[in-house]
Amino acid sequence: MASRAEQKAAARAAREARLKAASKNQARNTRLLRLASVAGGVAIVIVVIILAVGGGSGSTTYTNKQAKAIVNHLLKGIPQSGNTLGNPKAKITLTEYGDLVCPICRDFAIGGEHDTIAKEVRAGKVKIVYRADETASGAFNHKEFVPGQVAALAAGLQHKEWNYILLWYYEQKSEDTAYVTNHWIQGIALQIPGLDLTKWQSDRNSSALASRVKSDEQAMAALVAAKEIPSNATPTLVFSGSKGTAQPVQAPLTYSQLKTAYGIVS
Amino acid sequence: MAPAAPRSTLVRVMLVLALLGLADATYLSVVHYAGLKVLCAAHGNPCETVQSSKYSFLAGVPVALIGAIGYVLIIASMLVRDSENARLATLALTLLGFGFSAYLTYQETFTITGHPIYCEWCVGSAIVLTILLIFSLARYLRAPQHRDEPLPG
Repeated sequence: MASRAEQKAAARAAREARLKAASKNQARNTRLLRLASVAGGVAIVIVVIILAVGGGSGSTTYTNKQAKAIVNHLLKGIPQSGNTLGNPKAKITLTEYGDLVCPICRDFAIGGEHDTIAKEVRAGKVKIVYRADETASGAFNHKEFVPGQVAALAAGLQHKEWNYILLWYYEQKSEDTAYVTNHWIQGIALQIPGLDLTKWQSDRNSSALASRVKSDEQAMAALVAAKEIPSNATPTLVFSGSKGTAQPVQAPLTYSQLKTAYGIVS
Repeated sequence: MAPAAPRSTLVRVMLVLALLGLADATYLSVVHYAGLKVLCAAHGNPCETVQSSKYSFLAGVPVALIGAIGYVLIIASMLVRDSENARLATLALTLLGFGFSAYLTYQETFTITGHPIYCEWCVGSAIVLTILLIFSLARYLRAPQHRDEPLPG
């Protein structure tokens, strides 16, 4: 039988072991708690950064090389027919009235429109129809408005109108400069892979295409006259689907706003 | 002052990985500011598309530059005297880098063009950050508690 001193020593040892184990557990728990705090903090930082600035750099400028890479990849494999991008049988149609010189149209093109092309249009759920309407061109590029839009329509005769439109938007310059020249118009076309430049150049002289530009502008004027929209402004977006046509919107809608609009008409 | 303990093999491996990541991010930053073409083995140069997309900028700053700064901070956190706080700082930085890299990889897969395109340089950095995160987690959790280093908190 153990002596009293031995019993005391054993009890002390057991107590110390318990304290050591408890201390170790506390240290591990504290370490895990700190880890969880750091993980939570990091998650919050990432979410805040993404929500604050992620994917929204409308002021970013693109070199021709960058614009060409983006547009080619974005449109690759998506059907085009004239001024229509996407599956012709898509249940939702987004008609965009735009001016290639309009900076707000550019914001829309590289923002919400880009994302909807990448998702809904690529998936065959939405098709986008582009129609011309002069707004920003009127300041310094009025004379080149029709030639610019006709150039896009001429590319459309080769199923490449959207390549032309998006390249223009990505490379667009300040609306306060008279940058739209014949050289500029040709420079956009030169960046479209597979475009027959001889045919495109010839089609630019088509009076039928110039008439289509006028027809687009008349359609826009009719919307204003019918008071469906308050004024002539771009981009003007018209949504239609199985549930009918929604009230046109004159704003560079974000991707989530576009999705909401699709939900209203389908 | 106690002499600095020799760095473990784990830390040395982590330093090599972080230096690789730094070289990767520095290359992309230089390419951006010099206006050079990104070297890319994949057909159609998807690296150019990814590097030109709106997701390659945060508040107008190229994410490659932000990544390079991140790698410098990760390296610095491993070069300071080994401590609980230093290990936690490395872990926090790699976690931040990993999280943001995961977000960018998601954008490459689903958003930039609607069909998956991957920039090899971004994938390389994502792999480096994933391994760094695993190693820094192991380093933090498995490190012994020193008697002279009370746990904060």
